[in-house]
Amino acid sequence: MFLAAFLAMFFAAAIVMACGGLIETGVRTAVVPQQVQSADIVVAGDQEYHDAGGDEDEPPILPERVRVDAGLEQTLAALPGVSEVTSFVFEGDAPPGTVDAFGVTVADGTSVTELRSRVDAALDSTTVSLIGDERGRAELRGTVGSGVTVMALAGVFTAFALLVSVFGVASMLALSITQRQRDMALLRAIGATPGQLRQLILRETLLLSIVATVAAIIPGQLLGRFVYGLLTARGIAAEGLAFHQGWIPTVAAMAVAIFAAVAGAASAGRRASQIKPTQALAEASVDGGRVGPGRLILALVLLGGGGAMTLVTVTVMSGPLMPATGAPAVVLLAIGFALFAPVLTKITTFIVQWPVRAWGGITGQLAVLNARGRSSRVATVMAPVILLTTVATGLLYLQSTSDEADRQEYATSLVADAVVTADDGLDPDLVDRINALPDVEGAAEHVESLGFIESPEDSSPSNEGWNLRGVSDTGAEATTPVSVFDGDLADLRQDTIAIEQSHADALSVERGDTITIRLGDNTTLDARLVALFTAPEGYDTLLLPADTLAAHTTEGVATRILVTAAEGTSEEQLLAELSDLVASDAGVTASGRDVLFAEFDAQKLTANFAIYIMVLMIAGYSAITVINTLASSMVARRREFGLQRLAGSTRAQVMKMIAIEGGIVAVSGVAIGTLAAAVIVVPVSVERLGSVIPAGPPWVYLVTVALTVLLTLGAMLLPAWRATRGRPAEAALAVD
Amino acid sequence: MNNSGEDTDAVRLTAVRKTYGRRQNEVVALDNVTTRFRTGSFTAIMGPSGSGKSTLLQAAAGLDQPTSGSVLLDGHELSDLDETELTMLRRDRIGFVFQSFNLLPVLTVQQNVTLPLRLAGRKPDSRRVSEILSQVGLAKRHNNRPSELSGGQQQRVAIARALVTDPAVIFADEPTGSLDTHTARDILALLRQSAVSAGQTIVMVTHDPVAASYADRVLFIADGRLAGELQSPTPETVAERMTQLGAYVDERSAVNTEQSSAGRR
Repeated sequence: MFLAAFLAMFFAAAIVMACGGLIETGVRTAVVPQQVQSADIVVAGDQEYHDAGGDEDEPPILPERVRVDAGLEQTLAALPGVSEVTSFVFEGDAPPGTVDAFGVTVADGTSVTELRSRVDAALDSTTVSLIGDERGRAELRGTVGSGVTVMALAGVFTAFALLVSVFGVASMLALSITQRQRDMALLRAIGATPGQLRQLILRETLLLSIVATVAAIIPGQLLGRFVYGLLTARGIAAEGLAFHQGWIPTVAAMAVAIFAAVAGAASAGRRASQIKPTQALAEASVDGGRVGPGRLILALVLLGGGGAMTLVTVTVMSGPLMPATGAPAVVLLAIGFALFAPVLTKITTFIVQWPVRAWGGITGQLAVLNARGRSSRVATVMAPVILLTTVATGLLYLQSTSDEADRQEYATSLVADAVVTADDGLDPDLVDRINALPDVEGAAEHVESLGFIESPEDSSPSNEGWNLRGVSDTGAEATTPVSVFDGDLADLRQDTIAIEQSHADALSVERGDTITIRLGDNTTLDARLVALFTAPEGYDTLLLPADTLAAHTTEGVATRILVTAAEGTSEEQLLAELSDLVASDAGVTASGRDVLFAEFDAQKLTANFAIYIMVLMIAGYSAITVINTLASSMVARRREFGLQRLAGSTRAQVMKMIAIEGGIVAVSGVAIGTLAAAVIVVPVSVERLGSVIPAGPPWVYLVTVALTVLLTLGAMLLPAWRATRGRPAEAALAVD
Repeated sequence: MNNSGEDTDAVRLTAVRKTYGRRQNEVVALDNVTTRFRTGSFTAIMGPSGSGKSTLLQAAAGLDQPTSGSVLLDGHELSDLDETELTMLRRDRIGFVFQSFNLLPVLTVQQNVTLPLRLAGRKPDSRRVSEILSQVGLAKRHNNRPSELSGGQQQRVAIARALVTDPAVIFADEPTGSLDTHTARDILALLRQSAVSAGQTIVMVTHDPVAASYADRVLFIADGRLAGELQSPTPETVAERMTQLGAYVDERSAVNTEQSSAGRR
């Protein structure tokens, strides 16, 4: 039984360490430099945008490469202590007069830090200097954003892992107290004060947790590396980002895990101190399954938190941001319900008693009596089952519902029927040629980017910037889901822009006014407002001329044309015509709508992967807790089984009783867990999809339930088999 | 030690009442029990099952608070003490021997015996400990675990532990219940000796008339009430008194009436 508590702490520590390693990796954003290896200092564009007005520590990352003025080379070369300056271009074609980065080698006799301060003085606000491990960031631009993503993910994992592991450890400790009741009562009888018993528990737990966390150091490293590998393989973390799990996260994780263990021990200790010395004289005890005041308050707080987050998720959050509050809501609800297990156990056992008794015969009756008489043991055992079911079902279906809703929104905003792609850049007249086709209602070039509005004062939705979309003047209306309110989209040429009418009201601008935009490559554009439109909710996009916007993207040119079919023309017809048209152009392909959907889904899959990993980790830990708790409780009942067999049960009857008890626990736990998950999933589904039943494959639920039931039964039957080995008389007289 | 002149009471119970359950299903375990145990005496409490003898022991020993009434132990009024104070009193002034499960299985004999002292924060005097262990005949076994000892040996360790704090009273609840007659006799002799030679006050609950005969005095209890006492008991007198307790009294008088009416004819 010490083993069980040890395992709980061991796994908790390993998980928290792995998360810590991921956080450290994100914080360091150490990228192994390749091309710039020889340079001591790298001067590159600052990919972070600092004027968004939001959280200073988490500035948004600009999506396009920020270039560096080529003239800087002379200035750098002229600095004292510089031996060589090399220029680099890493991706695409740098616009004339710019490069991607400079590499500066330091001359003998000067230190890197000295030179760096001189270099910094020569730089403007859009350029930064990078040394050491940071240098690779200039080459692999994606790593900066990756680092932030990995860190954010790891932060979330850690918080959840902590909550779940405190809960797991506390359950195990509570169970071990119950099993040592007689010893504890004896101690109380011969003179151990309640305080001394509390101290005993605390010290035991401290010792155990230190041993467990030390043992978890190496497995924690391995786990961190493994998870990081998964993230990299899926593209969530950029390849070049180096994984670091140094002593800081390891020690921090140990401290946190030990603290969690001690917190769990506090509640177990309190329970131990309440054991009456007269229980030393008692043979059997039947305990009440009440929830103590501390636990009640905690459960209410968690449920309240979960409920509040559900409310926020449903009313405020939109689209891809939903998991930000949705996932924590699921975990809070899961733990809240699990804490209420004693009360819920009584209810469910009460409900199932009749069918079980009727169907199960004498073994069924015994099973029900066991469950009702020892409801606190059943509650301890059912709590992790509830946790597992809620977390797995809630997170997975929340994600799938949200994805389905996002997909539907995307479908409404995607007006085009076909796409023409040219990887090397489009012929300027290709758009007109397509527009000339009789079956085409409209065709327009398509460029996507992100930007911020600098003047007039504006704050974009949660600081992520506005979607920028570049379109050709002709065919713009046909290929976007907007309806023009004022002005004409055909005026989108050179430095012009069109925005939503409600947005214009918020900014107090009218057609003809000028808006200053910060584009994705950190340059500014003064654009004249030529049109106002209305669009479906959540569109959040500003329209610009395709050529203008393309010039400020990393590729530099537009590579796509969206085409809408005329009334009466089918998609296949359009596709056939387009293919004919572009057949003679090398490197140009025409494809249907599903290509865009496939891209959308692929993007979603990448983002969802993080959620899947989180589900796996928490579900894995909950499963371990389930096995731990159930196995320990079976081992402790060896004497009881012996007595039962002496009274006349065959071994098979005892096993059948256990199976029924297991069935009760599993079914009740799954039912409560599903209910808890429904608390958040159903409102979200109603809000975003208009349906009470959430979107998502039903087999996920069925498999989760089946696995949980199998896990529960297995964790009960196997140890019970072992506990009923040997002769009943020996077992009945065994001293625990 | 004993005062010459006035005999002091180690434990005094006054109008002690203990009930379980609520009004409708109330079970009265002890009904207005008033008695005293003098210092240096060896008292046996006897009664049939369910008579309340274990409850009486628990109330006298401060293991459980009575519903009403007062218990004075070694000069302390137990109902005035809270759980921690009660525990400290038990630790310093009371020794316990139960029928079984007396020892912590993870500790050795030596550690089990010195446990109350260590809980009190006192350093055990190793000479005294070995003296007591030889007294109970287990000097050579001080490093063994309870699982390596026989039932009788385990009981001796329990007695040693009870003696080590030099308590005001030793309470024993069926100490020979699980033992064979030879071992039981040795244990009882050990208890008697510590009462006689060391002036140790002992209160023993038992259902075995032979065990009761080792005491100076036997207190009888039936259905929660005291039902008389016997000084200088022998197994025969104790056994006979047992048949005159509680419900048996009515039965016997009914049989006697029948017999005498049959005899008169």
